[in-house]
Amino acid sequence: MSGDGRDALPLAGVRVADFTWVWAGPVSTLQLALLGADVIKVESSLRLDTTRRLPPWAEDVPGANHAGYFNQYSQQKRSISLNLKQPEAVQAAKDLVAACDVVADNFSAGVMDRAGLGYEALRRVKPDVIVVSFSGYGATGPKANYIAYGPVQVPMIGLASLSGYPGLGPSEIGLSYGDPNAGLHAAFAVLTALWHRQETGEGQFIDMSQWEAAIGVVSEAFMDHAMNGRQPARQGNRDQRQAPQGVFPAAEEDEWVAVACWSDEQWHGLCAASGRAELARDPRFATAAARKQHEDELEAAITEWTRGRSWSETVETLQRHGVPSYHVLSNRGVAEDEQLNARGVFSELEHPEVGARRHIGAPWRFGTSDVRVRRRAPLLGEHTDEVLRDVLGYDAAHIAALRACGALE
Amino acid sequence: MRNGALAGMRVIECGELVAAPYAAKLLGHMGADVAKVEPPGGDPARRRGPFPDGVEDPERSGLHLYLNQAKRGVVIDWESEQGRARLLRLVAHADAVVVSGAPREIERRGLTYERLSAVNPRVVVTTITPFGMTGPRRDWAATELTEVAAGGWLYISPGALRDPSLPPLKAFGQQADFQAGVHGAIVTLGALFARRELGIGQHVDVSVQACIASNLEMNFMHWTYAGRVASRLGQRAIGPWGIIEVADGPFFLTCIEEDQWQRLVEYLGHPEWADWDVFADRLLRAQNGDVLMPLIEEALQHLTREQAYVELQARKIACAPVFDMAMLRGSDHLAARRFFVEVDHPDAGRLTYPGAPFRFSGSPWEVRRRAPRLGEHTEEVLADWSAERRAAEEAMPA
Repeated sequence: MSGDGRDALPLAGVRVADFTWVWAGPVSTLQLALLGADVIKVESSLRLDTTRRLPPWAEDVPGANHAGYFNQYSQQKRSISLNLKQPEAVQAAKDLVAACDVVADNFSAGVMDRAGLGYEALRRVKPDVIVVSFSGYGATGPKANYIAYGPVQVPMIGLASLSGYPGLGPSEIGLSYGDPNAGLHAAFAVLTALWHRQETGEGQFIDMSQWEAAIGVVSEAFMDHAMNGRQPARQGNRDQRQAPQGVFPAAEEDEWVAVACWSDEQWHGLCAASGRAELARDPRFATAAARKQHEDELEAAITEWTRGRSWSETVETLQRHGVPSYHVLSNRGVAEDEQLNARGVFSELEHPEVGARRHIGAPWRFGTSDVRVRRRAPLLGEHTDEVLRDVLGYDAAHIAALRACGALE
Repeated sequence: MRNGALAGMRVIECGELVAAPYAAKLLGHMGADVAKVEPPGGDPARRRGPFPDGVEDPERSGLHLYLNQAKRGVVIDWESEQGRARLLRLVAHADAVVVSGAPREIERRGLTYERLSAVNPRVVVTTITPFGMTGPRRDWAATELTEVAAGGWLYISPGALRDPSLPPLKAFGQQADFQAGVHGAIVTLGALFARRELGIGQHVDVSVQACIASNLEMNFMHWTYAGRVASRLGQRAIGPWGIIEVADGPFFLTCIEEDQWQRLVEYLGHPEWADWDVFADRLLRAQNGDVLMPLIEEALQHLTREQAYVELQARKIACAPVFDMAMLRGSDHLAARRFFVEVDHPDAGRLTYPGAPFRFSGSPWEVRRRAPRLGEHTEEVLADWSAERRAAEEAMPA
């Protein structure tokens, strides 16, 4: 674990009681775990985390410990199994909180209160505790009890109304984007609250509405409405101001290349790379505004060029000319990407049920602190005894009694 | 009384557009004293807009006005000796420098940890670059679109697409840079925590590409666990799921769990649908979405978005209108929580902005400052920071 001075882990000595599940919450506690906090995930075999119940499974064999989704976002955490319907388990959860610095949950508003684990109750066992609770709508307001899974956030925050192919309706965007966005904002909030506690000794409650955490990401459109009462039109892959920008077909079946010019230099590079030097002198394309006006013609010309070449030839040629471009990577493409591999982004620790599978590790590198994935995702309840004994100080008889009454299911 | 959770922390932001500016904005609203450093031409966000009535004005760009609240404005001419010296004087008093842009440009401006730590060994330097500061493609040209392509998001968007001739679809705006910005704020605080033990700062190297790759939900593991490529086509694993049209516009709904589906068909007056073999479980309902979604759409035709929202949510069914900007501004819930903030600006006037992304009971998010005019506080920040340092030194016992 953390605490070894040579590792200089940012959150060495910080312990987190992690009641989160699905995607948003686990993203937040994963960041804390990567930074060196001891994150203890509280789960139950009676109400499995959704991500333990969804494919993909290792080799398509279902099982709570076989789920790639869970194993990705639970890296570097420990797991304790508690059935919070039992009062003995609720007491154990409180004893855990007493030994923790941070408590996180992403249940609907009120769930933790009803379980006897609301902020006021936790404060009594740990006066300087930091509690972050993130629900879809936040803890207050007329719709506080509405439910909002990750996919609902994309329409809620306005992003679906702004995204989509021209002429077609509003669109989803391939991800339950509200979830990781909320998780990252919550991780930042916890770090900020830890800083405040270090300076003042005070803990606090953080009410995070996933909706509110995400509206800033559409600020470019929101400000247009605030200033001009206008909703920007959906433009597919085009940019509001720069051109050309698009996703173009390669010679290979269903392979695509992303290309964008955000400066005149890049535009000139594109003309040179595609053997169309004359376009760089064409007044129809002389400025970003002019190119934006003639986008259809530009895209037709680029498509004609990219269709005749492999994606790798197109990307290499464009990058040689300083033009932003990349192969549109599939999941396989990401796993094999030269740049991500060179930077050591992936983790591949041996797991007793799924073997050594590739996951995404920390997306950042610290110059001195030894920040990296050191621990694979836990099996369900793998650390129950260890945590009850070492963190809560329970003796063997106490643990046996808890097990006998079903509190550890 | 401390003025914010991060009171006393000094941050220099040398960013452009979204990534580093958003990281520094998060820090600034929580109380850090943020100096936004711009070249004489200003951050490109000032030229990006949107602008009132579409009239370009570097002091009235909406993206800039939002992203650069809670900061003071400093102009540094990177091309002059005096400018670079001035930056180093600021660095001497700073806790962290948050930088974004192309690696070569960051190095040319001397914004590396090696150079800055020579002036102040305690400074943390966070760089947010498209591919990171190392690796064979670190100098590849990039924009938002190519970053989401490189991170694997673009390929899977929009999902369950019917027409394979349509290309992968980018989400609106600059989402890759926003996400990398939050990561940048997280690791900057992380390195400041590590400084307690180390006694010195360090470089933290954030790759936008890797940030996006870390946000792919279960899609990455479809390859590494089951050898399957996930794409924008394919189909959903859960149904019903998707956007339909109700009386006054588009509306999203889904039933993740079986009890939600049961309550939906009962509310729609078609409990028999739950008995149809083609809708027997959520996977089959996804596979037969062609049939199911139009049925649901027809059954909800008589309701407005708000009515459908209230009725279905009362039955604990996950749904929401497809909010546009006007609907966000008109939301009763966001209004009751006072989410939006009104901020005055001498050039842009009084405008409504998105507010706090989280609510702290003890050390709240606050607007603190409107976005600065270009170079508005250049002398002031330098004077403040050196004076505070002197005062602190004089207050120390000998």
